Amino acid sequence: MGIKLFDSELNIMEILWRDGDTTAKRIAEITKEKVGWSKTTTYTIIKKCLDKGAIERQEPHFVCHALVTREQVQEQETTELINKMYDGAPDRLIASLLGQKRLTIEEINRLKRLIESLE
Amino acid sequence: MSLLEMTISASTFIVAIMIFRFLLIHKVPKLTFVVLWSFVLFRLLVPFSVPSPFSIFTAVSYLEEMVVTVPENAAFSKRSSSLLDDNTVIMQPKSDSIAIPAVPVQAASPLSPYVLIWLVGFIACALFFIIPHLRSRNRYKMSLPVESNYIREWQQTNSLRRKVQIRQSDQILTPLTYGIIRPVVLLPKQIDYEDEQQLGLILTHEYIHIRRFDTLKKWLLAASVCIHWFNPFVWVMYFLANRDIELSCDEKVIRTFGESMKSAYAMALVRLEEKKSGLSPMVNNFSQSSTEERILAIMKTKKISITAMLLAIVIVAGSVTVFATSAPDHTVEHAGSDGAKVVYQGKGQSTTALMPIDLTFTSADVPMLIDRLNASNYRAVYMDNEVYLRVTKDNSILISKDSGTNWSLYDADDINATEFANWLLINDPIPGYSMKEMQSRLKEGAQVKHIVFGNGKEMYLVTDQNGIHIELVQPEKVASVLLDGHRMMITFKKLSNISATMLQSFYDLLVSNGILTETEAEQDYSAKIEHFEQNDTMFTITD
Repeated sequence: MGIKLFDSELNIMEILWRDGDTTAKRIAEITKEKVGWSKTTTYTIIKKCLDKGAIERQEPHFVCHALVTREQVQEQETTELINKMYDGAPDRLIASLLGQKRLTIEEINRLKRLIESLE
Repeated sequence: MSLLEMTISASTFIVAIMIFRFLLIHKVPKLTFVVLWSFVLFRLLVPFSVPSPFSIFTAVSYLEEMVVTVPENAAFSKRSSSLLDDNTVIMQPKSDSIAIPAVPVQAASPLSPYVLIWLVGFIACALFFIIPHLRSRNRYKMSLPVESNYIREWQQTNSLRRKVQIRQSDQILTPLTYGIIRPVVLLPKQIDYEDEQQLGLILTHEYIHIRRFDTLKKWLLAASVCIHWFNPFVWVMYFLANRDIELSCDEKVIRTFGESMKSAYAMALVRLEEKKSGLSPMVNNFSQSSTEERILAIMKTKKISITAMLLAIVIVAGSVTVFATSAPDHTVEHAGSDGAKVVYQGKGQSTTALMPIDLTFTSADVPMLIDRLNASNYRAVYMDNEVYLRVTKDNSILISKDSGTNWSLYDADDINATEFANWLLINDPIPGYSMKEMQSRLKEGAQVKHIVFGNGKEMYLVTDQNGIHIELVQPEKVASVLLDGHRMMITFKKLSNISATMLQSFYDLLVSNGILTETEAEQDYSAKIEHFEQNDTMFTITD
């Protein structure tokens, strides 16, 4: 089975794969130093990993334990997820009103020809 | 300025910019439009105005005066000369007051339905912007630092006063910048980090946004849409201004890199679009793509000629003077009752004149009537189709609502004389027969009483040892006859239409109150009717 993870989630998994089981507090300290995340941001990402079943929480002290190996993880496909998350969300509406819509292959080819013709 | 005034004045400006934009988008620097939008924003968000005699609103109020007020006056002025020569009638047309409504305008309660509806719309709009923003912000926070020597070097050579972070995220599809005080440039993971030319273009674009505080501009645009959500022009402005900010930024990138980079830059944009749409199943034909507009704008960028520059300056200076300013306020200045200067700031436009249009006979015109009144038990008599009123020698006010059969005492409110003097200045600013006299009377401590009838009708009674003077307020034209210690005054329901019935009843009233004898009343009535008929080009006698 493959779990799809974002880079941010992978970043936390890397810590667990390298250092073994780690408390959430310690993870937050490491990420703050290395990638500049706030404690809240780190906890949010840990929560996402928990939800996806990539890690489990062990008490006491909120110890994080990796449930998947590096080989079992796939990179999350951005476009796929963004489409799922943002269809129908207000900012998609604004974007489409602003004309920031996704272009089709034909439209993109047409734009390329347009640039060439104007050169 | 009220919200409605702000929104209306800004709308004309928005329409003007839309026209300029349509005609000149590829001809003048794009910054022109960004600057123009900033003025609209100022107009939409800052509740005061800069007066200018060249404002479009000066023209509007001028036109209004021509259309609304002049015809009425012309009817008077054409013929009133003969009347004045005749020296019997003094006309006091009072319709062209430059004043605001006479009755103290009811302060809108903070929860009037309109305010409530506006508030609901405002909150809905604000949430519409803030919620997606906060969700995106949380996503952006999960970004990672970029490992790229090229970027590190680029950052060192292009430092800004604010510290800018450049980070990478796999959760976004296009490069973006967020944060106003501590800006962060976020690059999508999918872009080609080996392509240094493209990277340079992207970073330059984002740094220009940061340097120009474009994030702040976009927030102010969103704020103006929230406040003016009911105005479709403001929405149009929101979309166009957002595009213009991008176009102007693109233009600056090309100026920085030189025109030879035009196609490379346009291609970079298309490649970003390609990455975005790569796996997207969405086919959306909702609007014309802004990418195409951007590409056209980029490819058509030329060196700014002096002509284009001058054109841009003229457009900005011209439209700002014409549309972003308001008509200068009329200022009426007059000595107040207490001797202090009273300054009244009138509006640019003429508004409802609540002072009735009247026909007035002074004590010189109707000496007999005034004499008889002074000799009687009364100091003033008034009537219209609803109310009869008389003021006795001891200043009691008696009112009858059944045509003079039963009279009851009316307890009128006392009004501060200074306030009344101000009120009079605002509402009856034409220096008429009585203004000076009235002011000196108020100054010497005349008492002012205020009566409010139904339908917005009001009456002010100014009393001192010299007698009584009554000022009428009529939001609608009402036929009425008034006799006080200084004049006889007839008002009309329709302009210059004198109601014979009303006049007849008035004389009956004078008789029944022992002011005139029956014979005197008949003679005087006939004389008045005859007088009006002789001037029949001016007045129409109706039943």
